[in-house]
Amino acid sequence: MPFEPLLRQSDGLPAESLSMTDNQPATVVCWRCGKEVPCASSACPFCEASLRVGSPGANVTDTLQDANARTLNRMLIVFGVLLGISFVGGLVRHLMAAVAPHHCLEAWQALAATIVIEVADTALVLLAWAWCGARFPEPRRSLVRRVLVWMAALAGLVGVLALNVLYHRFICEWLHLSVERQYVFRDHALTTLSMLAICAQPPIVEELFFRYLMFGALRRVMGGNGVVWITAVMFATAHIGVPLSMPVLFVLGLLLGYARLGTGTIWLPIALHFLHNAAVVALNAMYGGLQ
Amino acid sequence: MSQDLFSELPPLTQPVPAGPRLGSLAQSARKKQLKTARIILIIVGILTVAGNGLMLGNVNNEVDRTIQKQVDALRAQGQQADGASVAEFRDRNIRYCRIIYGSALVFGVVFIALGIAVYTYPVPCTVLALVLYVGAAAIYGFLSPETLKNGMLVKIVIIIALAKSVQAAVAYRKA
Repeated sequence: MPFEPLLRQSDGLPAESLSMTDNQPATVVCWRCGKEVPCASSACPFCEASLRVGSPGANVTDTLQDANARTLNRMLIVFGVLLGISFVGGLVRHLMAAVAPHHCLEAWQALAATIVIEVADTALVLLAWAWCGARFPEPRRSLVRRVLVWMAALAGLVGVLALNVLYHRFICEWLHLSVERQYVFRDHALTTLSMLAICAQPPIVEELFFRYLMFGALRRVMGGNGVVWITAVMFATAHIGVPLSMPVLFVLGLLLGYARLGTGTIWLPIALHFLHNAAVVALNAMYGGLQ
Repeated sequence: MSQDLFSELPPLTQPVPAGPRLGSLAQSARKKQLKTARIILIIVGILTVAGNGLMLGNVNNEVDRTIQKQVDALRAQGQQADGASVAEFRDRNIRYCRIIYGSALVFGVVFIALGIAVYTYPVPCTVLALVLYVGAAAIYGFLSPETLKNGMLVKIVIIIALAKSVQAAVAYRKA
């Protein structure tokens, strides 16, 4: 195009306030005194007006870029801490099991360890939500599309559960692992609390972090498919305590990520995650051998 | 006079030649950071593939050596190892080791692929590389806690470099 505009219009900022060379802004016009200042400046050298994020005349392109990078940075740090909590929690469980009679934790011991880890996870994710200080709105999808996505996701969940059963059967046989029923139904007094700890808390907290905060932070800097795959890898990696189950958890993460992408909300991922965990607990109680 | 002046001007239909890019310095710094990430990923990937490939090829001998030590220790105490149990233990451990070394080998291949694709997809590749590197260190540290201490300083340096490359990739993508 021979008549390319020399000034590019940024979101909501008048074109006149930006001076561009090629595609890089060289200077910005100070929102207070109207003088030209280098775009790298955090404050106007003439009137000392702030040119940081949120200041009335800040360079929108740069500040958005900075804010996106900062949000992503924070979420990656939180992911690292989450990984650390899972790591320490898993190690503590192993140490407890090592000193326990028959190398097997009592139901209340396993439940207590789970609850401590979940309380720490919940506190961390809520802190991350506050620290992030951003909202990640997705465009509203049409009703027809949402209904179709819900139906497809439920069908996908059945497929993931079937894969889960087959995969764990194969792994148990291949590694000659003994198949035991899960502890949650051995002691009826603990059943309700166990169900809450396994089926209710993880769907809410994990989906809030992986499919809302991390998903939103990544969505600002890359495409939808990339975000779904990366959050699925993160979701699988965060389950350090069950390393052999990570391939299935990765597939589940993909399903939950595409459910989030398809509906634009986290309600479907939460519902799917809840149903998945409930089904796994029920199958474990009946047959054992699932993680 | 004015006619001469207009005759010196380039015709409006031709594109104006691009001047020096003021942001090119920052962009080249970001590219350098991405290049560092690429080198790190490819080196880490090659070392991981080579190391775990060797371990995978030598897994039977490694398990046999470990079992032999335990059998010798039992003999020293005047006890005899049950042959069937030893065979089952050997079989199971060989399979465990194959899973561990095989998955590490896959990680190595993924690191190399990410290093190759880092200029094409800077943000996804750098974020995924950082997540996989930290995740792999945590998983193998969980499976074998003594591996956490090995090369701790190198691991920290690599994590910092990958984290910086994520920032550079976000800026590189926008510029």
